Amino acid sequence: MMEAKEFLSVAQKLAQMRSEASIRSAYSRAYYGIFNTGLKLLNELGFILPNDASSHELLYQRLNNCGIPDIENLASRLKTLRLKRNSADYDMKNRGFQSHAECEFAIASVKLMIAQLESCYHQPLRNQLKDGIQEYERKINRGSIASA
Amino acid sequence: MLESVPATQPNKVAEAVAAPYLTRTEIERGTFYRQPVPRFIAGLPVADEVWRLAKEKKLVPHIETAVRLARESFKDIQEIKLTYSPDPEIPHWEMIAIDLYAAGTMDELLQADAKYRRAFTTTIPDEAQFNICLLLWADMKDGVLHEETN
Repeated sequence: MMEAKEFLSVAQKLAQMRSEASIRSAYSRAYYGIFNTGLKLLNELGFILPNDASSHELLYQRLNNCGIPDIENLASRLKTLRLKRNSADYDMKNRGFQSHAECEFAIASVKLMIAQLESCYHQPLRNQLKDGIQEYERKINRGSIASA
Repeated sequence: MLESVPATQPNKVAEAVAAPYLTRTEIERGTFYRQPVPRFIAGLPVADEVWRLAKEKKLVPHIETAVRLARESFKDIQEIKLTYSPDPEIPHWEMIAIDLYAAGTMDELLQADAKYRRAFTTTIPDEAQFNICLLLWADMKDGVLHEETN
């Protein structure tokens, strides 16, 4: 099975090509690198997210409400990267994709994020993350039952 | 002897007399529109869509806090804008992006970004965090990365 972080090597190569099209594509690959790393981690912890577009939001919500400040910061950066990826792929008028240095800054951030997520495979973070997400899911389930 | 105005020059007196009537005529025809009232959040002008989402989700004070946190976290800010950013693939996912143009070295910007996000997640209520997002556009003052990711 392909490792999601392999997308990051591709992103770096694209950024170094220094054309706007390659820089835009680099943002997209970098986002999918961290997104799929997050999905895999949650999958390993027993949280199976749907294999459709809703998983972007569901992953963000779970990481952002897990109760671990560092992971909640990561969720915030994940959301930012999604916004940039959307802009890179859909907004051809945006002129913010001409700087390869800026793109490499984003890739450096993603490298840190991937390392941070990988640290969650080890104890005690693994259990903290699992417990935090379970608690969040209990809360939203209670909320949806109450509002039904 | 009276001085006559040359035909090639505009007659200023006649223009001044005619202007109010022209304006009135425009109003009567319904072609006169008031300029929209400019709206500001955190001292920044915002578009209608930003204003609509901010009001609908009660985000105004939280955006103001987020912009303040960004100003406190980043040293060399060149511009801040608030933009409406719907997700083109997820229908209900709409956000207000704080587009922040900042300069610095990679280390400075990474640290500032981390400082902002720590402050953001601890200060802004969970329910408001979802719709507000910092979008950093970095003006790098140092080198770039060339190492391969393993």
